[in-house]
Amino acid sequence: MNTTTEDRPAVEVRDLACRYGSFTAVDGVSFTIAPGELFALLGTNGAGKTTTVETAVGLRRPAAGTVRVRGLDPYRHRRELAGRVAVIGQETGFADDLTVTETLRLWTDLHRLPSRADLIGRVDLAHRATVRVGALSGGERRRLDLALALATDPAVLFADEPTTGLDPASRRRTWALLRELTERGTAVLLTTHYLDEAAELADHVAIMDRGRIARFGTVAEITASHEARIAVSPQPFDPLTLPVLAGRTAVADGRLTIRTTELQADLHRLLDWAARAGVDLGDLTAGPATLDEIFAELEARPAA
Amino acid sequence: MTALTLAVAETRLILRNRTVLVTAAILPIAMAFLVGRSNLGGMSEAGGALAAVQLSMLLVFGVLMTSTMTLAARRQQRYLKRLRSSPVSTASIVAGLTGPLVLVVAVQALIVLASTAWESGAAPVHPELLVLAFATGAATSVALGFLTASFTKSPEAAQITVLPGTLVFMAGTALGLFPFEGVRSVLVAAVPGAGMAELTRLAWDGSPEGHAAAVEPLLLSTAVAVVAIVIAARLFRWQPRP
Repeated sequence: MNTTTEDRPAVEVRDLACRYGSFTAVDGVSFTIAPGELFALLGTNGAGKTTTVETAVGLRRPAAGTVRVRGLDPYRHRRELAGRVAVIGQETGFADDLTVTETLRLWTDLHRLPSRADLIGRVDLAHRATVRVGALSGGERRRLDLALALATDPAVLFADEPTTGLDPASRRRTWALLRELTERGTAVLLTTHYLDEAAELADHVAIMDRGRIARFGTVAEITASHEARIAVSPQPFDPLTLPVLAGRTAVADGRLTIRTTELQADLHRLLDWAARAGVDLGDLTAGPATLDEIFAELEARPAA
Repeated sequence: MTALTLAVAETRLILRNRTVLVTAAILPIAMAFLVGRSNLGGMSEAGGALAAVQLSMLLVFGVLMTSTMTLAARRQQRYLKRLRSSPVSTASIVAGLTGPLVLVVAVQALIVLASTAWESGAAPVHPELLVLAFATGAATSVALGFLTASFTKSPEAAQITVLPGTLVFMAGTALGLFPFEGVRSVLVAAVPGAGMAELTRLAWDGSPEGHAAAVEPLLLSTAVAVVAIVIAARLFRWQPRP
């Protein structure tokens, strides 16, 4: 059977390396994004996210490795891909003296698409339709950027921090629009600083650290691969009476924290101990590691 | 069609920016009329020389300066980067961004040169050569505008960076008005603006050799325009330096 456009990954990155002079910004990064998948790329500042996105978009040539978007090299086939690939960047790139409506109309005309004035309302800019883009707030510019991306009905969307600067309601509306796109089959590469956003939207997550992918998987897989955490303020508390636990314990200000790979077993031992010793387990919380904790752990690692 | 779409948007942008509007629409025509009235070097009696200087001023102010300013502004706003991420070809982007400026200058040239013809009492002998002079001059000015914009960080900086290109084009225009022989004539015509000026003078005043006299300046001014375009295409940056 022949491979069709729909069968192959929408985005395929293999052993990508990008350098600025002697500095290696991206070092051996690989991932694929299927049609209809939302892939979140997380990382600290300077981790290499934006360089990866810019290379995938075709704005820069890789130093090594390959990037394919719908089977094509985005650097060499910019014009062929332009109609099917949309980019929401950190810089919006509008002419400040055109109005919101004129900007959207210009974009659809350049793509030879019918007018999509309805999108202005969908990104909550109906009340700003006749305002010049230069007078919009940062959040409003980002929403207009999203409208332009939606107007082209892209097969692939590269969204570089699309919700930065948005209020909570606008963020949620943006999430809904991104979900709608993936339901229609658009592959989305999302970079974000908001870990809750990745947890909410992403099918797969990659956490970049110093140019490499340090963690990869679904949010559940990534958090499950880390120690879970039990925290409690026992009353009365004598650490010497604690049962033998699989996890590591730490006490600070009367609060006991247990990091464990055996969440259920250790929780059972703790409850059993409390019942037998007559200890009240105040403020008990237990659960898998969060993305925030994993992220903080990576950030705290010393440079190699 | 995409070039036309971009040109319409660009026209809106020019009309909405007072600085660009004055530089593109008012300054060139004012300068051109001023030169006509001042009778510099007795030029008002020599229709061809006056027309060449006026055309040169229109192209320098209306195309070279304005295109440098607008390209620097559009790049600073990352508008050029966005256009490059669309399916529009590079040629259409260039045509869309500079077309309105060239059109405005063409209309201004018609007005100014009609006034010069009326005041000097002599119409151009070969109007078709005048069209060619304008076309090669406009192409060279556009290329110089892109070239200058490639090392111009902001629209404000354009006020300084346009000076070398302006001086070269004006000097070329002055040199093109004097007859040179042999290799020297080729060297002079290779200065941007010189071929355009010589063609304008021949178009207006005519020559005993007829159209044959226009072949060399036409070829050389076309070559200058092509070289300027090639250099500008290699050096121009669509996004700000990181």
